[in-house]
Amino acid sequence: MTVHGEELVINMGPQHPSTHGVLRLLLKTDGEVVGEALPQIGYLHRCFEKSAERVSWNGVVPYTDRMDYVAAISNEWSFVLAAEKLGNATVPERGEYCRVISAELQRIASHLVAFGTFGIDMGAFTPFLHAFRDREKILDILEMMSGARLLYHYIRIGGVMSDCDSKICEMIKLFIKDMRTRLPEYHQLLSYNRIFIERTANVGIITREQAINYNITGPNLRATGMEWDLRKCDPYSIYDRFEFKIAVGTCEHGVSGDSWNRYMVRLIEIEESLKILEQAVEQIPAGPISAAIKVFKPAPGEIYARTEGARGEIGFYVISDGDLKPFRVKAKSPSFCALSGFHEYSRNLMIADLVALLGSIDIVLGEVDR
Amino acid sequence: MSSFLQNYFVSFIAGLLNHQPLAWILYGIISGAVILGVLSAYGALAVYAERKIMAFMQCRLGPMEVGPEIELRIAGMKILPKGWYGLGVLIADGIKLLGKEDTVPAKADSLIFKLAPAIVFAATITSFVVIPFAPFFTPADIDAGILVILAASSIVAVGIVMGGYASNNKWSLYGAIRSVAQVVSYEVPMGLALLSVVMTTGSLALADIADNQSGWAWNWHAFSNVWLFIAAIIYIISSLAETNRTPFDIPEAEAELVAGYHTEYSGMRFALFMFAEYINMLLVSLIASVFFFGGYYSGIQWLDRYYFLGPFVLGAKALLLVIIMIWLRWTLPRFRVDQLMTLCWKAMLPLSIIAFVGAAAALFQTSLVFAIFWRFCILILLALFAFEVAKGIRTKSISRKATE
Repeated sequence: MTVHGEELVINMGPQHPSTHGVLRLLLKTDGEVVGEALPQIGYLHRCFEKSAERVSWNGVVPYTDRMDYVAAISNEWSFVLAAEKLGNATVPERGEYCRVISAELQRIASHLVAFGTFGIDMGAFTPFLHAFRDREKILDILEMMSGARLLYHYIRIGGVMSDCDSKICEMIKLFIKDMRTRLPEYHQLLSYNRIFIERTANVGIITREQAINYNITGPNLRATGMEWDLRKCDPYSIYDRFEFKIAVGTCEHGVSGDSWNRYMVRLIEIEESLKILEQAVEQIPAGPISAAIKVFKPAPGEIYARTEGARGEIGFYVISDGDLKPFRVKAKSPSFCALSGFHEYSRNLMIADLVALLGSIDIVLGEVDR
Repeated sequence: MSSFLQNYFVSFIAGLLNHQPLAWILYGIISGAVILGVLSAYGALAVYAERKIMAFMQCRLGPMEVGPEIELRIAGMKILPKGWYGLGVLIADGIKLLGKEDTVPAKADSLIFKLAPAIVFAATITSFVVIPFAPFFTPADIDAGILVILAASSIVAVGIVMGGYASNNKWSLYGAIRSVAQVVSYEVPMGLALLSVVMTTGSLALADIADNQSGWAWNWHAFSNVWLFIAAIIYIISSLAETNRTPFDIPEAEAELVAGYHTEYSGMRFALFMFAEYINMLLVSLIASVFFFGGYYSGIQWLDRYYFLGPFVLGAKALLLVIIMIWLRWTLPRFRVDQLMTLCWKAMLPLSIIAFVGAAAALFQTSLVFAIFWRFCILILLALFAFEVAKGIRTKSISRKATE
């Protein structure tokens, strides 16, 4: 026998600790059970796409930083890739390596934030600070590379802004060594904690069909067991030179596509990124880091370019009319896609499970609203 | 057994004033003031301890270093170095809480809203009067002391409901609902665990229960037979739920309910809630010490006749348990509501009934063989636990070596 009470409508957010920014969820609850959760977005809309039409091609890059501010480099790269394809610009070898190194560092940093905040969502505060301690080292390295700690503006059209010299490579090697001792600690502290598994396994399942229908990409898709990673499936830059595996949901606990597997995919990806970093630091050739482009003025045309960001496929559809400014820029953001089906896979969860689901799809509201 | 110190004190004042009822009132006021003073000091230090332990576990620098830039010297002697070991934060915290605006939400039920923290606080400290701090010294030696404690701790839940309901905030209401459900559920295994001890001792008075455990440490209830050992563990787990501490902090689950029932409180009203929580931690630890871990007896028979050691021994045991609670808070994630209930009704309750029946059966077996057998069982349980811990430490060091 089930008892149904009166429906209570609650606002979760935009000021709520576990909506990770300014997301507002309209919950229709019956006791602890949430019948329906409707995401209301737009609290962080900054007219990125319109602003991009007003600035030069290179000037758009710092705007893209501000989309997904937790993983800024992947946004930059995607836009720059689109611009380069339009303008037929080539990137020197060393520049490509610098891009890979920065992007993989950024991916680790982003996944560390996801790991830490997910810990907080589950009530464990300590993993968060441990993750931020390790992220701090990445930020130090990226600061040495670009001069900034959060919004880098590091990748430019034709190459990168500054070199990844031997000193930075040494730092990265140290970091790789250090990070590999940390991961078992993370697993012990959170991943294989009995309560944590109880809370996340079999909770907030996104099936593979749902994921494909809503165009969910990145770790959220891979957690369903689908091997889809643009670095392997549609290789860009020099990713075909590195050996790494596509991290997919292990199903060690729970079923594929649940919160635990989404969480685990990120931790496995940290390991894989460390592998790529290790190889990149070894292989990095000498040479210029950037092609000399005085005035970037691509021919009229349109293009869609995509990269594998920390949150999934981040793409830019760009139209050029042969001017110094882009005619139209449209971003495809993985967080928006992950959120667009939220009403469907959040049905009939408990409030605590809703938090687990929201934390494990790891959205950044700056990217949802742009 | 009546409380020696209490009778002495009252008759002394009654002799001076020649008025018996007045002497009783004076005694109440003085002992109340002493308890309140000690608890205030404890509250501040518990917050400090929580910060420090948290800082050690999380590599935080703030609680270690933030403080005045000058050394504290008294009469030329260096008391505290620069930064004061983070003690300055404590003072700043107090000033901040006192200085904050005391807000009452516009549509809140003002009277109940203001009353709630007071009720929670008062109900929490009430229980301290029946705690025996030393042989012959219980502030109020009531025959049915444990009933007072159980009654008072239930009133805490009433205060929380009042706070959550009166805030006129849906999240607060959720916190209040969860709190009631949790406290009501966990009082059942908790009561049964305590009842096992009451049955073994044959008295509801806490002083009698403590006195039953004099002598060596294996006379402590928790180590006297395996059933009471299980009861002790059940009590400690339920007391975590009773005090809303992690992993059972769902009434104030930050990630889900913002701050639960005290979302709308600010300033000193909020401080009262927090204060009550910390004091409650001490209270349940004191009860655990008295019921299961020898109370004011140190576990070394030769020290038993030094009565003045009593409060310190009891305090040390209770603080150790408080530290374990803090340690757990910064290690474990949080349960979900239904998992909490499942754990309570499907695991803890049957286990506590088993412990209760077992303890009853053990009462009839007083021969030495059984006494040794029960203690042997406890040793095996402890050894298993130690083995698990050692295994955990070993895998960690292996994984470290493998990666290095």
